[in-house]
Amino acid sequence: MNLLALIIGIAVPGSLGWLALLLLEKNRLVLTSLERIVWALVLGPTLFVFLAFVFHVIGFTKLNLIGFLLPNIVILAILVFLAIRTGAWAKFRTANPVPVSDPGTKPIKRWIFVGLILLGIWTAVKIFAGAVDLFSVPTYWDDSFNNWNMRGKIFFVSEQLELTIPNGNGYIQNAEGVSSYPPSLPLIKTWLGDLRGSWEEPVVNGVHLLWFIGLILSFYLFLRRSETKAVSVFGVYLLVSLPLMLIHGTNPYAEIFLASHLFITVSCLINASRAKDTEELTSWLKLFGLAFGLLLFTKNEATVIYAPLLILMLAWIIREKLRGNRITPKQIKILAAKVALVAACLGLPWIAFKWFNGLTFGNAKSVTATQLGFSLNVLNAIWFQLTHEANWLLLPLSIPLVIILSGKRSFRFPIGILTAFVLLAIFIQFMIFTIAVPLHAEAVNQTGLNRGLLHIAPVALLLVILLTRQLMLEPEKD
Amino acid sequence: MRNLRFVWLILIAAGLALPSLAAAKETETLEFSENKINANWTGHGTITLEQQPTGILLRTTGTGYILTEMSVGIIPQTGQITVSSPANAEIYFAWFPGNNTSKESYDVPIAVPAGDSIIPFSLLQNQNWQAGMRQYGLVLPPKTTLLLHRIELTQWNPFEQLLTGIRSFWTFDSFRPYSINFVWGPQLTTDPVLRDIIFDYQPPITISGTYVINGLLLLCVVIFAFLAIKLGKFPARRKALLVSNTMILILAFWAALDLRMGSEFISWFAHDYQTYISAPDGFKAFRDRDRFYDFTAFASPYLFDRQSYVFFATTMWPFLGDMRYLTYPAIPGIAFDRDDTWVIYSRPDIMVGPDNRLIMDGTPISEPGKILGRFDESSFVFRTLQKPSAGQPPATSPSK
Repeated sequence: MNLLALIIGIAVPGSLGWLALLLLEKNRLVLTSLERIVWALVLGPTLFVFLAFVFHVIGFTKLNLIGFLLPNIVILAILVFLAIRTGAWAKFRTANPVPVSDPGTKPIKRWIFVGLILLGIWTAVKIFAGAVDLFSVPTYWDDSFNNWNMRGKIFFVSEQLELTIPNGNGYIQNAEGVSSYPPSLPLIKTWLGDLRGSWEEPVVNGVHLLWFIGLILSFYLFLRRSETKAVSVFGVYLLVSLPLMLIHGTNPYAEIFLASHLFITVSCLINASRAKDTEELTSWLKLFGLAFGLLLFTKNEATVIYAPLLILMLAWIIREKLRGNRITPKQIKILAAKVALVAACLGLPWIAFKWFNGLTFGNAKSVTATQLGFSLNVLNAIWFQLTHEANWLLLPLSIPLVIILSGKRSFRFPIGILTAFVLLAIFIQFMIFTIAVPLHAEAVNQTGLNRGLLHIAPVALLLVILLTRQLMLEPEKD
Repeated sequence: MRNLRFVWLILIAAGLALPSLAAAKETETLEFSENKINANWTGHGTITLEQQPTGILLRTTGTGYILTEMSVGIIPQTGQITVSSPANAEIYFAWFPGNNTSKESYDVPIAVPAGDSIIPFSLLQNQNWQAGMRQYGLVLPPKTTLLLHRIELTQWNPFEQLLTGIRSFWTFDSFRPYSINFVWGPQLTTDPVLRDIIFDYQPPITISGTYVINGLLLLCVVIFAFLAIKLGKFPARRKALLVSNTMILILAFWAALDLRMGSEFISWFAHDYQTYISAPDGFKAFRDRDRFYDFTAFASPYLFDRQSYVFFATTMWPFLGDMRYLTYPAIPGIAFDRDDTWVIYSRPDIMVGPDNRLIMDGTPISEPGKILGRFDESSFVFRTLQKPSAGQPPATSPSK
């Protein structure tokens, strides 16, 4: 029953996500069939609970099974109607598969093939072990039982979006301000609990595997757009080999939930930067609007750190496209309006809700009330965590190495989009922990920094792989 | 071919030399049993020394020292004491450095359990372990009694140190509350005693294997860059050589680290599987929470119709928050004057007194009632016979 609830609980929001993606790219299908399914499974549940959230705060529904299903079935029906009416469905049925460049025409050497098989088995064993643990053990981590699972269970029992967690007359030390976190993840757990009919740990915790597998597949499919199968499989090995990535991927925490959304959002931008014509660019940017809007509904870091950076990267892409005469200023205005509309429809309701309810902007602590002050201890702690601990294996050293070896090429458009995003995101993470006084302790006690880096680790690894490939296969000529 | 033979000869000779190297471990034994004492020991501070057939009985009223100036002739990394103690105690192995006459001493702690025991300790715990020993011995805190039988000090030979270094790289941490935030990764030590307790130290006092690998990698890249500049004529080809060598090296070290960290991850799963997932009900122990989740499953049926209840556990964190989540909508708290149900987890200091009230350290803390269900000696669910009246706060803190 638990497995059935999980499958249905993912499939229903997944179909909503799938239709939303299809409609956004209806003029030019740019996602491969598998990509659309994977992205739908990652973005679909967030869109699903976003709609339930909006209908609930307006006062139309409760947070129970009907409250989740009713608005979503209505929207699903509208999307089906639109898909048929606008010809998106017909286009999907008749369209040729999206061409994905396949440089892997040469057969790979036998020892490489055997090596990849072994690495694949090793990777699968690790994921399997983590997955069995995820489905079988009780809720163990502080943030899970004090925030993500706790809030989900409160919504499940009360059928309302409660903003306070009972603390036993002050006896229980509350994680202060957790209600300022977007309720998306707890709401997905509430939905699964409602569907199952009871609060079952394997269901509400097991769903986290979805975002880990979704991230792995998105990573693989993105690499497949430009790399061989061998390189793409090897990329997946590298991703899963990052110890903290594996730990978080197989435990009920929110970082991979955010990381998977962020990876898809950044993918849209990179693909947009590679777009060969206006229609393709339009499709990618509309998809970006959807992913960007939903990203704001995942965790506060998305609004405070990643949203400004993503907008900056978007501006760079538009500037380059205008310079290359790939798009006219008029087309850009119309496109920007569409993207902003999609993103605003998805992103603004939560921000407005926070505003009206006096919830803080920041990671459970208000950014506006943050005291500023430099800490050398934090810099020491960052250095220690990156060089003395095995959280990221050799990724912290590999990033500067490949950028230095690549030189100016790493900052040229379009790969420069990725380089700039990764470097700025890392810089901002370090800066926040170094100058925001309330966060000093989190960096020194190692309770915050690595979790922040988890969001950008997949994108950073992608940068290392793409730059390395460029260095190895496209060397500069003498 | 001749060169190859020469290499083989060296390898065989090195192989033959290994046993002799292994035998080169040096241990200095200091005996305390009657007629076997092999050093001059003196007591300092408020300590009495009494010779007994099997050792010297040490008794302190204040802090006491038992010291010798006998030369050990080695620079030991490890020690081991054989003692008998009537109670748990923490003593110290201390030494005054041999390279100067300062009065500053260094020490490492030794936890002595009650009864007869042989306790190894690592001198590497103190960064001044290489300073040599002009004078050394034990430091006992006030009101300590123990019978000292033997002290052994060991210097490991290079082969054993190398072997221990390799083994320490493959010594795993366990899955702990901090593992969601960071992992220490491989650690390196040459001391077998320290290897057994690497992750008992937070942070580990050993050398980080990740740091060593990062350093090695960077050094190699610098050497590659130097060679590429020195040897090649064509800048692009030189760079290609540098890039390919660097990447091969990164991947090799990456794979080695991944094998280490992936194995640690799987060892966590194997531990969970053995102790929790496949263990029969009632015998499930989960990581540092022990039998807490079994207890919660036991206690929950008594709480389904309660809005709140009184909860005591060994520590506030993490049990209180976890309990709130697991029993929600019933909330644990301290409403002694309102709640009739008391949930007690692993608190041997709380029991039912002769007048059927819960008592903690001899002080009544509840109205009379009865135990609804007992999980084990120190964990149970208790309910008062009538709604409690106000003014029944416990005399001491609600949790330890």
